[in-house]
Amino acid sequence: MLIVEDVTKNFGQFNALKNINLEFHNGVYGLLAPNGAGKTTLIKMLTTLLFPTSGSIRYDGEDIIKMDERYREMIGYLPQEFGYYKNYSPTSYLLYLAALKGIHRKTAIARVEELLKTVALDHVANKKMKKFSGGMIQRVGIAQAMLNDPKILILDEPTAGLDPKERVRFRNLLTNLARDRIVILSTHIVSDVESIANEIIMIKNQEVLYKDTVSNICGNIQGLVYETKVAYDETERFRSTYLTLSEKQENGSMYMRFLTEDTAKAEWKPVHPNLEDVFLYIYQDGVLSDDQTA
Amino acid sequence: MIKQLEFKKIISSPIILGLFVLFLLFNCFLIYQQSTLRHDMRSLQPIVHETGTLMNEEGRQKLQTSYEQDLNTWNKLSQSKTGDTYQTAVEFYKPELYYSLIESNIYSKEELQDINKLAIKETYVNSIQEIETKYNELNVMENAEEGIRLFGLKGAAAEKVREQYTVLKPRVEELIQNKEHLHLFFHGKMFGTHSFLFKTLFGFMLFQAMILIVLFTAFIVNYEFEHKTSLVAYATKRGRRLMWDKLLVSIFTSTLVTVVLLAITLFVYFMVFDYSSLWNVPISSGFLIELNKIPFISWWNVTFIQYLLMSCGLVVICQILFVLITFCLSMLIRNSYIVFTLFGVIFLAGLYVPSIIPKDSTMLLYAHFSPFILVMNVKKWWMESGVFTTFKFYEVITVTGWLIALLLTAWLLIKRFARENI
Amino acid sequence: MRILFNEIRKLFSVKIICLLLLVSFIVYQQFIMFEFKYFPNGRPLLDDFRATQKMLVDYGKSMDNEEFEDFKEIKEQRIAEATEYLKSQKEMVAADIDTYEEFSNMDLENEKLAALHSKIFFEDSVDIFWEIQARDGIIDRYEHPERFIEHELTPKQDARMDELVENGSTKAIFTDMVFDNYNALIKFVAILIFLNIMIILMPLYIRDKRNHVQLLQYTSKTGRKLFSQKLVTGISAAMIVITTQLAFFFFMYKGNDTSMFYPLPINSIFNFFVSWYDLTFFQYIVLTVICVYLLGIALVLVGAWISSIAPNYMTSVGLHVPLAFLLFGSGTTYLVQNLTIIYSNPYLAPISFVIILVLSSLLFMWRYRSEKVKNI
Repeated sequence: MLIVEDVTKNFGQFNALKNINLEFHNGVYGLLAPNGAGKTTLIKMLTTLLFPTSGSIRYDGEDIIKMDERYREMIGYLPQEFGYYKNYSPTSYLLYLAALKGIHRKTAIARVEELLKTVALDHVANKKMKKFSGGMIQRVGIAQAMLNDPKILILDEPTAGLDPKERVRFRNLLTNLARDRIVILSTHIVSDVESIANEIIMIKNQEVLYKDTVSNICGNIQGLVYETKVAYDETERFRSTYLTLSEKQENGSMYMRFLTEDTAKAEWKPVHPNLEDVFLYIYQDGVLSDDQTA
Repeated sequence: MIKQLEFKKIISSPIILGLFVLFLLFNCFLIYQQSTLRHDMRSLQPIVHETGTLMNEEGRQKLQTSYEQDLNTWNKLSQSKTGDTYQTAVEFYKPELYYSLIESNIYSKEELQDINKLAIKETYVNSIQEIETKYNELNVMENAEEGIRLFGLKGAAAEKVREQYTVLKPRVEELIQNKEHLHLFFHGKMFGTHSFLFKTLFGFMLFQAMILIVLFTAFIVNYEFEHKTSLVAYATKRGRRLMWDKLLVSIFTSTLVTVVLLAITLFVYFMVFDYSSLWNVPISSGFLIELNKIPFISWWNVTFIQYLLMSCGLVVICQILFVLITFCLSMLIRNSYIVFTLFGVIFLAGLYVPSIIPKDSTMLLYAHFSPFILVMNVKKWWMESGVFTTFKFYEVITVTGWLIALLLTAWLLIKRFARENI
Repeated sequence: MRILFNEIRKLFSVKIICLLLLVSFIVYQQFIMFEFKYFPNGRPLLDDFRATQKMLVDYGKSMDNEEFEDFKEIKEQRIAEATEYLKSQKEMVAADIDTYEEFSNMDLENEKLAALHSKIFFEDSVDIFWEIQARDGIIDRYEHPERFIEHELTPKQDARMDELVENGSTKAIFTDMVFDNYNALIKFVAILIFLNIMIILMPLYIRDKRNHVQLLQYTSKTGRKLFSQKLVTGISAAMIVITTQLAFFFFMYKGNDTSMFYPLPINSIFNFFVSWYDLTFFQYIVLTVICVYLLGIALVLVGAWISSIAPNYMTSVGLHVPLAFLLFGSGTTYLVQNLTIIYSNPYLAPISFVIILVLSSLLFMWRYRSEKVKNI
């Protein structure tokens, strides 16, 4: 069990996260927030790359910083942007990281072979990575995160660069893995986590806003989401009146999905809210731009 | 605008500025070390004010008279103090007498300074005859033969050297005709100013500027690749032509760095050493001759200030050559520190090449037309400079040839880069 | 161990090895080969060298007064031979030069005679004449031990000089030719080694930092310990470079054929270098080698520090510039070349080494500590 308790992180004057309290058990956690909300900061603290300004992170009751290598031995981490050596093949690159992860050489060789199969890179196992596509590199990254069969798997934007087929494969892989470990998945792509996350964590204004199951979170706006048809010349006015969640054109008019607390009108059709609706609702005002954490 | 931003990339890195300041401090330290000579050097100024710099019959007469007067004055003083009189001022410094005189404190500090000045004046007086004789007996062809023998040149190479020295010969006659050699200047054998200024200081400045220039050129050319901005930068409207901006900015900055370095260092130098009445003395003056007794024979009748400016100009152009070499290397190799190392290797290789060329081939001489050899010998720019590099337009040919060749290479590389897969 | 091996492999990439070979080749050609090719450098140094070798064979490690008489005797014989030679040369006899004495007192201002003189020496290069010159030089130095006896140094230095005279250094056989040659060589070799180390260590930290591989490294089990492991890597790489370079150098140096001088004490009337200690030439060589290793380690510490703080290669190279200036200049002059020389304080070198090593270690330790708690 991984516990984040009262964690605050400041970079000089800048406050990136304040009073974060979280608890992780086995299962998939989706860390959902727009860019710049502090996702990467939280993840870097969970991977000991950043140190909390105050508060503590504990694994089974023990501070992870004190645990040092005993903690890092248990984690697998895929950073948003990770480095690799152009002239290395995936095999030699993974073997290099396996050495750093303290995996026995013989074990490592077998494990690397197995993992390259898992991420469907076995046919290029000994080719230099120089010519790899973004998706291939990303899969090498996923493989390296799983090298040491981690108890805690932390993935920062793992699906970037993957094609739809690979995404599906990857989601299934995670569901499998999450049975006996903690998987923390940071993303701003809602569909990545909606179907597989046991719990969703949302951060707003440097604080944890929700940590709950998808359905519970969606329950918060139950009954506020509608769909309706709007004439073209009405759309501008409609957008400024209500929070539109999505819109599509059909047969010469606009179908709007929107959220409002007004009493429903007749032509409005109430619908079940989904995670994306919540996301848009919560973050409607401040669209944060830059990733200010790194 | 693009150029300004590229320029900012260079100057906003503290290391360039830091090294620049460090180099300046080092140059000041060198000047400071040399500065003990400044008082003795300054005693030439009143002499020049009295007699002018040209030591023709008239000037020499004036100097002789003035010297004799001073010696008389001194002898009167010494006679009254110790009863001794001196034929020459140097006699005063004979170790048998000098130390006892100093220990007994007979002469005041000012008086000792007087005799020191007198001794210096005496050296100038005595040198004139020496110089005149030396130049009258000077046979550059003999020097050429001596050099040919020393370096074992044969065949066509030796012939070529003789040819060049034959061209030099009339210039020596002209020099003597003009009495360029008879102009007073800081005594080379005592002060070695030419070596200090043009070998030590210019040598250091050349290398300092070169280090900075190679560093920032290699840095700026591959900046986009190192910062992973290449995809964005080279897909813009300006696109691959950005390389031209980078090249121009490098050349501009190199000129700026070199000029500022030269300006500050030389300013300090001329603040410490008073050259005020000597700016217009011909650089071929026989007084410049240093302990190795080799006369300075410039190809043209240029004055000290002209020579200085010409040399500064050449330094600037040499640095542009280094920018171009680094630029070309950086276009081929994306790693800036390997570029830096390779530049060093190329520099040394440029110095090494002549030693593997047969001694009878004129190629041996032409191999010396390289900026690397050129910058190793600032002291002899625009002058007779030994068998390998005594060509009337050696400096001009070297830099023009290389400038054209390198510009062409750079242009080709930029062309190539325009079609390169990034 | 595996991490170490992996890291070393990363440093010695094919590209870098090629670069090192290129640098080594050019430095050897430009600075080092000369001292091999022209040793001994011309005449009469060659004859001096030969005479010294003969002295060693004939008299052993030192030349006492009796042996010195013998040495002079040989010179007299050579003079007799030279006279015979002159007598056999018609042009010499014609010029009335038929003894060595007349030959050596020849009026060289006279062009004709000067031509004859240089014919003997340069055109025909008659060995005996050169040998006589060389022997004259040796005799002159042996007969003038003033350097050891008359001097005004500090009391300590004076005492050391007296001690040397006492234990027979003024009679010891050695030659400054060999010593100066070695000293010149080892300086260039040391510079080449340091240059190699700088080139190899440049990417040590910068590369992974700029590459973002650091994120993965620091979250692995090894974690930030890798920072110190990389130092071990750097030191190992430096050891490999130093050992390889020195092995190659000494292999080349064997060609200078100076092995007979190894067991001789370097303090000798025939060597201008005076040491605080009674070292043999071999011991002195060992000492220089140790110092190259020590300086190499210090350089690794500083180089690693630079590599870890520099944000890019330009800064790294820029910071190496003053370091190289110090190291290649006075660094090698005082800490490789003039070890134990009597004219500087005997503690200068050891204290310098201690200070350099302690300071560079502190610099690195300080960096390591801050790295441990650094936000990445």
